Parts: sequence; structure tokens; C-alpha cells
Amino acid sequence: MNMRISPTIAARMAYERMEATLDRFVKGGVDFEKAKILIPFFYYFLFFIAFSRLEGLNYMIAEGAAGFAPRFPLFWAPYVPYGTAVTVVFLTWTFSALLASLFPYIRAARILAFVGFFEYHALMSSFGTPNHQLDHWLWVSFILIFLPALTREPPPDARRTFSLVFWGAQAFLLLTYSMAGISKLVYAVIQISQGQANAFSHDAGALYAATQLNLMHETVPLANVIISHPWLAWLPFLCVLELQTFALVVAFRPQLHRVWGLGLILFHLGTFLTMRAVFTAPSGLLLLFLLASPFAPEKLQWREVAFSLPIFGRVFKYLADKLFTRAPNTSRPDVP
Amino acid sequence: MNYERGKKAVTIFLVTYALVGVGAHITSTSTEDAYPFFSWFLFVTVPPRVQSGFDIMFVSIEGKRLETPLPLLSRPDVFLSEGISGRDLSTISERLAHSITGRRNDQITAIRGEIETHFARQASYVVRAYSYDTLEYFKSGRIATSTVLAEFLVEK
Repeated sequence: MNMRISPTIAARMAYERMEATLDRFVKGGVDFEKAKILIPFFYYFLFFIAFSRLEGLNYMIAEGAAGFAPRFPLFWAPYVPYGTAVTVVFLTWTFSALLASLFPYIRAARILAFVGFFEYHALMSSFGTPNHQLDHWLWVSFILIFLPALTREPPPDARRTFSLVFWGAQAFLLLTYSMAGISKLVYAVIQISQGQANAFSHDAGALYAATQLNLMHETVPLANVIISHPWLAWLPFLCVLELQTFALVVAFRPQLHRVWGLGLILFHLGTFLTMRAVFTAPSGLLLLFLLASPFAPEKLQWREVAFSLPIFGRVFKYLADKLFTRAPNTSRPDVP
Repeated sequence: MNYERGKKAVTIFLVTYALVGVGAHITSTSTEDAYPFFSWFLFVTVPPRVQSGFDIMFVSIEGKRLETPLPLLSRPDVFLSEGISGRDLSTISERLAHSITGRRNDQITAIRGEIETHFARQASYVVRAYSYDTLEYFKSGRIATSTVLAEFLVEK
């Protein structure tokens, strides 16, 4: 008998499986205590970024409004002078981020920080194609609005929901990397079918680096090395594909959170040092939400990490079982 | 929001973000996604091993023929670069080259105006189509093939 599962039922089964996995490590216990400690640091970082960006206020006003096409959050900007709008946006973000640093557990402060940040992000995105450096920070500041209010002795459900919202921010971060990785895989298939250099080619990393740097008329420390010896970048590039594509899977495998956080930070470092791709901002979030993941086990068991790796984990487990599992010893006589 | 509802909310949020981000990218006719959503389709295609492009180079300045063609930005005494970046010039080169190959004289005149307004002295320049090995060009600056599409004289 052929049993076909409808897409709706398949989706439901997948969702229930996801829920069950989540329930195993989002407990509202130690994970809640750790998540609670980390949240203020998000706002400390946010204030630091806002204050650092304040340096650009005068420059931005001096550059003028040429090319300024306000995004929807800046619906009010056309009614005030450009310089005033820019000043209001910069200062609002800085002070709202400071307020949230002082009162990170108060929802109103977190909402204000998000609104201030959204205004700034919209301003920066109002001159042509947006720069996506701060996208992750923006959306995480949105997600953290939904942290539940905490009393002195929060009830178990509030603690668990707090951990869940933290996990939601982790999952969002990892989702964006998966979107990037999957898109690279899709286009790799297209390029392979057209006989072009593709993401699996030995010189893919070198071609990315050379093209970017040719365009920018610049160079960076590792560019010469990988462009002269493209094979050096091949394995790291394949690792990046694995890191990105399966990032969302890792959201459900706490034993991999730290490894993935480190891997993605190294990915950003690597792309800067080889092709001057500047994407420094997400690293702060990778540190806070993955490297310091409240769900990761205290002690890393390397076998557990290796066997949990997407795709390769099964291969490693199979090899480990084959190589290290002893067959029963039938040569000794039975001891009476 | 309690824990059970929270799980549903997080799932809906993640799915919505992915669908809107990717959907906007696929359906959009411009390079824009649906702000503030984004597809994260960055560096998705590996650049080709052989690339081609267009550039604009000086071939003579005040009647003197140059031994080697020079990029416009390399002679700030001849080409005043205020208000025009290297990236702008690359775009203009491409537009002018396509207009020349497409024999669109009105466009050629208009684009020439954009460039020649920056000239401070008499000079001739060529519009070139070139191709190069991507890695070799980075290492040595060597161009594999170069074809002059047109040459223009600017009187000042």
C-alpha cells in the first residue's frame, strides 16, 4: 500500500519534530540564567555602535541631501530641513540605545531602542541600495522586544519564554546565513550546467578575491597568497559553504553553537583579509548569541560535535563505528 | 506571550522573513529587495575566469601622442575628477561603449558631454573594449585583448 503524505501533514510533522527538539534544550533553567546575563550586553554593544557612528553626523549633513530618497520609517523627514532630520535620527538612536543599556529588561526601553535604530537604519538605506551591515542588529533588536517581563521570581513559563526569545534571535541570525549558503548552492548548480567556474571550482575563492580587488583597485594581506595559489582557498571555501548552508540546522544543535559561531566569525575575517569584504558588524552578534550560547553544553565533547555536523556527522559516525567498534571475542573458553 | 505560543510566533517570523526576503528578490525587477527584508543573495555567482570590460584612456595630450595610453584619473591636470569617481567612470565607459557599438549617436554625444566637461586641456581619448584573465590581471595588470572602439578629440 502506497502511503502519500500531504504537504500539510509533512509540514506539521516537521514542525512537531522541531518543537520536540527545541523543548529538549530550551528549559528555562540554567539557559535562562545565562541568557538573562547576556541581554544587557546586546544593548551595550548597540550603544557603542550608535555612539561610534555619531562621528559621521557632521559629515553626513555636509554631504547634503543629493540622492536622499527617504525609506518609509522616515515618512516625517521631508517636512523638516535635511540637517535637522539627520541630527534627530542620530541623536535619537544614541540616546535610545543608552536608555536600553540602562534598562534592558524594560520592554518600553527596548521598543524605543528599536525605533531609534530603525530610523537610523532607514536613513542609511535612503541613498540607493542599502548597505546590509546592520540588518542583523536591527532585526535582533526587534526580536528582543518580545522578551517577557521578569518579576523577582519569574514563573517557569516566563523563564522558558525568555530563553525561547533568545533562541529566536539565534535562529534568525543562522537563518540569514542559510539563505546565503543555499543561494550559493543553487547558483553553483546553474553555473555547473553552463560549464562556468562555480562554487565547487578549485579557484572559486581566488576568482572572488581577484574580481573584487580589481574593481576596488585595492589589495589586502592574504589576497596575493590565494590568488597566486588558488588551491589554498578551496577547502576553506567549501567549509564556508557548509557553515552557511546548514546554519539554520545548527540552531537546533546546541553542541554546535560555539563551533558555528567561531566558524562564521572566521568566515567574516577571512573574506576581509582575502577580498576586503567589510562585514564586521555581525561578528558582535555571533559572539553574543553563538559563541556565548546559553544552550551550549558546559564542556564540549569533540565526538559529540563531530557526529552532530550536518552531512559529515553521519559519515564520521559511520567511520568511527567501523573503525573503533570491537567485534565480540569468541576465541576464549568460557570461564566456569 | 507564553512558551507554546512563542514557538509558533518564532516559526511564523522566520518563515515570513525567508519568504518575503527571497520572494522580493526573485520577483523584483531592480536590485532592491523589500526593505527591511533581505534575501542574503550575496556573491552568489562565481566570477568568470576570463572577464571583459570597457575603459577610457588618454592617447594624446595637447597634441603629443602618448607612448602608453593612460587612465583619465591618472592625469588630474588634464581630467578634473571633482564629482566623478572611478566607479562612475567605469559605468560611463560601459554606457559609452554600448552606445558606440549600437551606433546610437544621440547617446554618444550626451555621454561624451558628461566626460568632456571634466577636461581642462586639449586631449584625445579612446574607448576600449578589453578582456583579461581574472587572476592574471590582478597579479600583473596584463590585459589579454584590447580593441579600440572609437577615438575622440577634445579641444580646449
